[in-house]
Amino acid sequence: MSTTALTKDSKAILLLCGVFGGKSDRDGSKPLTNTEYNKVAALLVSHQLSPKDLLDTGTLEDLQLDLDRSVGYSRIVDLLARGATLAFALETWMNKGIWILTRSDSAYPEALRTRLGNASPPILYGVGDLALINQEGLAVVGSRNVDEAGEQYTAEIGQFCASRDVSIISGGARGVDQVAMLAALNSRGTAVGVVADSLLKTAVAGKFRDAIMDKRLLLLSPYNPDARFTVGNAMGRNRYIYALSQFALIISAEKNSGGTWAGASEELKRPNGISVFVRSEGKMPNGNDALIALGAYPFPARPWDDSLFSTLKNMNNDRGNKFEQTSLFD
Amino acid sequence: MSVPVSEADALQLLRRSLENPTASFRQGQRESIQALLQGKRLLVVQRTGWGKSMVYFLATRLLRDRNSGPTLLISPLLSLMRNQIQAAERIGIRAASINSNNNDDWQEITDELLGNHIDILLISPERLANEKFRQTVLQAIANKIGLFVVDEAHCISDWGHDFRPDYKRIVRVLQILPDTIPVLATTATANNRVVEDVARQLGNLDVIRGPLIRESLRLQNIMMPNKAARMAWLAEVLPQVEGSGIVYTLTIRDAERVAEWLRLNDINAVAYHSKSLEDREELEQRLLRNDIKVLVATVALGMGFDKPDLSFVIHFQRPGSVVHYYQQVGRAGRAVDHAFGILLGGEEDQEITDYFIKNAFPPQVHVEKILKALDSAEDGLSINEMQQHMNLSFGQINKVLSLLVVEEVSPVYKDGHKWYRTPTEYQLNTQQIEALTELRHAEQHQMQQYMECPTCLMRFMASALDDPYASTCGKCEPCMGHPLLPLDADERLTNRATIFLKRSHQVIQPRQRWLYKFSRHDWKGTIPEELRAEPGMALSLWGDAGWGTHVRNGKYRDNRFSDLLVDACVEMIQKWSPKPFPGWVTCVPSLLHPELVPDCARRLAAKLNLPFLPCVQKKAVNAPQKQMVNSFQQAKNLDGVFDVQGLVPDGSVFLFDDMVDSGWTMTVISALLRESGSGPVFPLALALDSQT
Repeated sequence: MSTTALTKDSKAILLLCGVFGGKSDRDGSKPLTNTEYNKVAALLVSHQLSPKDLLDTGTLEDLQLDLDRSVGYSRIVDLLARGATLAFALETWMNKGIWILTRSDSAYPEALRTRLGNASPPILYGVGDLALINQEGLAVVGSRNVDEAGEQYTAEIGQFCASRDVSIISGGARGVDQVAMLAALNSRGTAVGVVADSLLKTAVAGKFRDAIMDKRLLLLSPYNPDARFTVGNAMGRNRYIYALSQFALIISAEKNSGGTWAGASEELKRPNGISVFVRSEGKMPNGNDALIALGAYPFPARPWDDSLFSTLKNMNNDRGNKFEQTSLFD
Repeated sequence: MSVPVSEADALQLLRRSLENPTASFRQGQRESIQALLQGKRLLVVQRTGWGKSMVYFLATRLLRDRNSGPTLLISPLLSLMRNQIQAAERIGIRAASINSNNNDDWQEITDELLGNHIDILLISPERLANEKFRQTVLQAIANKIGLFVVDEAHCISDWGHDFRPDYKRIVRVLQILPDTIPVLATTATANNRVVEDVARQLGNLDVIRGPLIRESLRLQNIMMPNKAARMAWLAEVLPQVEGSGIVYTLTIRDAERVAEWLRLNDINAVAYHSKSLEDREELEQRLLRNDIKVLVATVALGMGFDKPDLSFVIHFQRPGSVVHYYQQVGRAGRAVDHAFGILLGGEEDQEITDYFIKNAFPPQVHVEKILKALDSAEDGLSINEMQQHMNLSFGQINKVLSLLVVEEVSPVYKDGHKWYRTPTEYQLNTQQIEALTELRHAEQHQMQQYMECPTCLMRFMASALDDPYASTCGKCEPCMGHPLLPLDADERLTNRATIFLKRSHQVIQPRQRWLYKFSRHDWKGTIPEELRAEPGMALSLWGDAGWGTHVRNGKYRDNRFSDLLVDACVEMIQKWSPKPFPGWVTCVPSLLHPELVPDCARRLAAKLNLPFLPCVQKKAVNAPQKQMVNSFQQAKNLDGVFDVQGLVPDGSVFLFDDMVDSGWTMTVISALLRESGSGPVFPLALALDSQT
């Protein structure tokens, strides 16, 4: 992505919400959270303005009272003054192949916008071919520590998806995530990884680099490319994995514990959530059955054949009143 | 951003900083300040001395008075001049600089910036490439930067004469920078093509452009093909020219030799180049204080050197372009009424500038090799590790990496000491390289035309720079109608210079470390004293005008080194008189030319009245050593190749070879001889290849 391709709206959103690492975030005003940004965005919409208008001193001053009532005027002024920080940080990232999309960009993934609405991340960092999100995708998630049978199963579904041109969508983490993605990639399939930390490091890792250059792997993150691992971020990105997928397959979940459980049970509760399937054969952790009890479906048993995805689709339709079918799947 | 500025305010500040109650703005200064206060992006093209610093100092003061954050100034200058700092301080501006030399002060300066106690921070373009600096300093302070200044902005354009890769990064930073922050780009040298290119890259740029000619400069060109004649001319003329100045040479070797020659002629001259052993800043200071008469410098003495009373700039060779020449000669006469700008032209000029043009870009195959190596590396590679994987020198690898890393989206990146591959396809832009190479040749041709120009030289130069104010100067040789300085060199001095050029003995420095683990010996790490070669001597530089030509003819034309060379070696050895003086002579064997070197060594030994014992054998065919371009490969190529046989005397010995390149052959054979019981080994060669 060229540095000239950043729009003014994107720059404004980045100034408001961007976390640029190092001391800049600790010493200055805190970047806006998703919720706070939504407040500002709503305010702008009510004045028929867009984010870039905040870069105009006069317009900004006119909004002083309104801003003070929401997130604070001086905080916004401080955040918008971070122009040089923004420029230095983005230049470093973009130079290494990272591209940036904000909610104001037309290329911003429609699936995130429509399925998550206000919960969609204002900023999205990525590496690889964005067009991969338009492909049919199966979310495959599970714990970091999975037994051998679970790992075998995960690899098989990765390979099967590759053979049927279905993307694996996962979190890029150690364990189930990577097994599924690498199985698909090594079988010449495609994958999308929504990572919670270290986007940059992940992108240059030998095991992923070739697939990215080959336009078969897309890595995305709502967090800055240098972000370190935090439990909160790891939990937070789960919803994006679901939002980018047509179905989800839970390989292994511990009941009432861990990110997999939290993500899957949240998705099951979400009014327009996608269909959640659970591995339901062999020895499984206790969370798998518990999720079925919450409304998840058992994933069709092996061996899989051409009918697998139409089966999934039919079950999806059964759940149809809750799920608005996307055009991609018709 | 609309900030009303009172003209009176600005003028008052100007007068206060200059300590001159009647000073007024130079043309363009007030407009520039005004534009910055309106938040614009501005390119100012004005000659050095016009007062660019006054623009950013006053703009900084006025912006700071309106609660703006500090100014960030990116400049290749290492430090602001003392008088500039004083002028800034008089209007209450506190400046600080962060560079590679004041690492210990970084934290303190950062704290002061965060405490809002610094108004203008100066950093070098190279700093921006430094990850540690970006993380520890820049990230901390960048939140509030209120004005962005880029000095020497012509470096942005790769069409320019002085494109610097680090400026590519600055361009991208400025492209991302929201237009809430005003930007000032300044340069003293930019033709229309460069101005347009900079404007296109930075976007929305206002341009303020002034005249470039310097009225005090008196220009003259003298064609003098013979190098010795030019050296004689310098030795004769320099003492007659008042004040101190600079002699520019095209190569480091010439800077060293001309300086040495001038010192031999009692002229206080010091060489200045990228490999100077002396501290370069100290050398500049000595010239500033007129402690030395002349710095004999390469382009390394470049931007940022500002000595207002420099009274001459003389070129020993013709630079590659008029822009280069303008920039270098323009250092003279900034604040004095008269200064000389003399261009000497030599027979070697074209060949040297051709070489620079040809080697400006790395060959595609180097790029491919390096990317391939990084592709297959598990966990990145350091440059040292790359040298083990491929036969490329540190310099060659570094050239490729520094080109790649500033690409818009780079195929490589550096983390710590290691380089990694990013998931980005890369193709060397050969079309662009061809276009640039063509442009460089056109510039070279234009410089040749300047050399031969029969009319006003200043007008030629100004027109070549697209100066809209170009006009006849009335001071140069063509304008005056007679030479300003003599056209010929003294014959006797020229003869002496010829002899001096022939006598360029070179020290062969012994290698200290093995760098490669030899298979048959326990040789690794530091070479122990008892196996190390002594410092040796080479009679000449390979291909040089003096003995170098004789060596080349002996090796490639006559297949015999002449007795003249043997005599010259004897003379050199007498002057050198190594201790303990060797009691025998041996030589480096060759399978390809089995007689060439031993024949010469035998004659040399006879002249020295020493026995010649060819006890070193070559027992394996290896690739020619000169094809190995880095130490690792050079050492590896000699592993198990030589052997010492027969009786080895225990006295010290001359180890003779025709040419020394990396010195590895001498190093390995010296160690073998010492292991076989010889005394200290003194390498001796006819020529040192200056590539190393």
